[in-house]
Amino acid sequence: MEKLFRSKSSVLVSILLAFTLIAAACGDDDSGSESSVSDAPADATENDSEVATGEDYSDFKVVMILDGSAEDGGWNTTHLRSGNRMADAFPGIDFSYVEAIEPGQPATNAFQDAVDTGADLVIGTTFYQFDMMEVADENPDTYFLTWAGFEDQPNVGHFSQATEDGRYLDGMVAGLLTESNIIGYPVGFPYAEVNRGLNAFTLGAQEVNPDVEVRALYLNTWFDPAIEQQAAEALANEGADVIAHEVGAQVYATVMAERSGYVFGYTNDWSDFEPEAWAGGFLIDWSTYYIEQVEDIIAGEFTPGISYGGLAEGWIEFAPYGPAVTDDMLELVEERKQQIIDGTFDMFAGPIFDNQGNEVIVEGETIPFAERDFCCDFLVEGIIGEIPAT
Amino acid sequence: MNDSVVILSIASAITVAIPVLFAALGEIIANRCGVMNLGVEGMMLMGAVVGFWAGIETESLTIAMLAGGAAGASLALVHAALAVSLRVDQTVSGLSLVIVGGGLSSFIGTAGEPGVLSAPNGVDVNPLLPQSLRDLPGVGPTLLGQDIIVYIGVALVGASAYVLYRTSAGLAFRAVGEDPAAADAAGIPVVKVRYLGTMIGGFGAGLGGAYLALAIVGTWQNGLTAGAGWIAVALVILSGWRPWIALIGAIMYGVLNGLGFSLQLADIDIPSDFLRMVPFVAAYAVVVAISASPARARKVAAPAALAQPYARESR
Repeated sequence: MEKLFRSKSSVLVSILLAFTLIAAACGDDDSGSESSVSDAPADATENDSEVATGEDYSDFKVVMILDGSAEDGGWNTTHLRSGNRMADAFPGIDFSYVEAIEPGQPATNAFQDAVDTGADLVIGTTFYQFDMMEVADENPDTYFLTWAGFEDQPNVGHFSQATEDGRYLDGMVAGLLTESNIIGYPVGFPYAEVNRGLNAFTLGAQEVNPDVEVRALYLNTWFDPAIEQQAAEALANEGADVIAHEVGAQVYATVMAERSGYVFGYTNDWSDFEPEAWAGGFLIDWSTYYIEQVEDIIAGEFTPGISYGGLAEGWIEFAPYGPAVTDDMLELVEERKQQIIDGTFDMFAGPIFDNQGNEVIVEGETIPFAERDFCCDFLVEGIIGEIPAT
Repeated sequence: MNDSVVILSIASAITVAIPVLFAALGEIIANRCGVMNLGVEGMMLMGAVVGFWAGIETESLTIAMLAGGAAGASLALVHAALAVSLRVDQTVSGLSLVIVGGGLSSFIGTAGEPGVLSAPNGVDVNPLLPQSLRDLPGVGPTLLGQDIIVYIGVALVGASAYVLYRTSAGLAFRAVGEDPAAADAAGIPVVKVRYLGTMIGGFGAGLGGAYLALAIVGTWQNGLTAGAGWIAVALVILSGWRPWIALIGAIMYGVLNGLGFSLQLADIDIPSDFLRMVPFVAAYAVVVAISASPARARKVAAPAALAQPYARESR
C-alpha cells in the first residue's frame, strides 16, 4: 500500500510540475529569457511576401522591450501599437518584442539578449536609462532608443512626449461637460509630467469655463483598483461629475457611469467600456519618431540626443469622443488644436499664477517647448490640492 | 468636510474591506488546521478572473461568486497536494502559488475572443435593502446600504467563529492545527481535514477576488488585486486567528485607505502613505502587546503545528 502511494505521488508530482511550468510560461512572469522573444502580430510579418512592391527591410531587426504586459491596455499597448505602425512602414522588417521586463538587472539582460540576437535597433519603453548604458557602450554598432533617458551616447536616442498638448484639449472638453464645475483628477505620484498634465488640463478647462475647479488627488500608486475605486468615490462625493486621471484602473468609468458623470482616458482608448460615461482622451503615438529613427539609421544619419514631441510633431492623437461631446464643443477644440500645431497658441504664456497666489510665469514669458519636459513643480490657480513632499 | 462625505467614505470603506475579509477568513480556517498558504494573492487573482468571466457568461451574481470561489479552491488544491500529501515546504509552495495564479489569471484574462480583459461587467451588484431603509440618516448608507455579499461576508464571520469554537467539527479542525499526532490518535483524519481546510481557504480567497472584480472595480485587469492578498495574510496574523477581530481589522484597513483621500480633499495635510502604513504599525503593536503578557500570548498564538507537515510514520 505504501509503495502504491509513493508511485502515485510521483505521478502527481510530475503532473503538478508540468502544470506549474505551463502556467508560468503562459503568464508574464517568465519573459526574461530569450525564448520568449515573440513575433509581433501578423500584420507586421505578413509583409515578407510583398517584397515585389518595393524595398525589402528584412535584414533590419528591431526589438522592443516592454516593462509590462503588451495587453495592459495602456502604456505598453500604446508602445506596441506605435511599434506595429513603424513595422507597417517598412515592409519585411523584423520586429519583435519582449514583455514584462522590470528595470534593473532583468532589463540589462534583455537589452543584451536583444543585441545578441542581432538587433539593429533596441527600443526601451520605460525608464531603462541606467540599465542599458553599458550595453550601449559595448555595442556601438547597435542603436538604442530609451524613453525619458538623458545620458549622451553616440548610438542612443531619448524620447519623451508632450502630453500637455493632449491634456489641454481634454481639459477644454471637460470644462464644457461639467455641470457641477468640479472635476476630479487622481494621479499616482508627484512627477513633473503628472503635474504638467494637471496644469495643462486645468488651463484648458478654465479657458472655456472660468468657474471650474480641479481637485487633484495623489494616490501613491500607479495601479491598485480597490484604492482607485475609493479615490473615485471620494471625488464623486465631493461633487466631481467629470474625472480625468493619470493612473491605471478602469474603475473611474464604473463610478462615473453609476452617477451619470464622464471620464477621460490616459493614453488608452476605453471608449467601449461604459460607453455612456466615456468622454474621450488623448493617445500617445510614438510611431512617427520610431519611423524617423529607422530611416536615419538606414541612411547612416542617426542623431543621438533627446527628442520631445507633441501635437505638431504628430506624437499626440485622440481616441474617439463619447456621445456627450457635441459638435460645437469639438469645433472649439479643433480650432485650438490647429493653433497648437501652427504654433500660434501657447498654453503656458504668462501671466500664470500657482494656487498659492505666486506669479510663476510672468507676463510676456512662457516655458519654451523644449524645456517643458522638466515642468512643473507648481500647480496652477484653480487646482485644489497640493503637491505632496517626496 | 461635511458629515455626508464622512458617512459615504465609511460606506465605501466597508465595501473595500470585504475582499480582504473573505480572503482572511479563508486563511484563518486553513491556518487553524495547520496549513499556511501564502498564495492568497494568486488565489484571489484566479477567483477574480474566473468569477468575472462567469459573470459575463451567466449574468448571475451567485454563479459568478461560486465560480470565483471554486477557482480559488482549485488552486488551493494544488497547494494541499504539495504541502499536505507531499510535505513540500509550505512557504515555497505558497509563494509559487502567487506566481502561478498571477500568470494563469493573466493568461485566462487575455485568451479567447473578445476575452475577459476590459470587458464590461456581466452582473449588477445592487444594494439589498429597500430605498426607505437606505435613506435613514447615518446607518442608511453605511450599514443598510450594502449589497447582499457584504451581509453574507459578515454572516460568514459569525458562522466560522461559531463552527471553530463551538462545535466538535471546529474542535477537530483546531486539534489538527495544534497537535496533528494527537488528533490522529483520536481518530481525526488529519490529511482529509487539512485538504478541506486548505480548499476552504482557497474558496474564501476566490470569493474575495471575485467580489473585487464584480462589485468594486467592475472589470478585469491584469494584477487586479494589487497586493490585497498580502494584506489578508497580514490581517490573519494581526487578528490572532480570530474571525471577529479579522472583520474589525478589515474595516479598519478600508477606513484608513479611504481616509487618506478624504483628508487630502479636505486640505488636511496627513500623507496618505502614512495612513496606509497604520494597519501594519498596528500589527506590530499588537504583536508586542501580546508577547508582553504570557497569558494573553497563549490565547492568541498561532496554531502550534502551523506550517508543519504531518507524517504518520515519523511520529
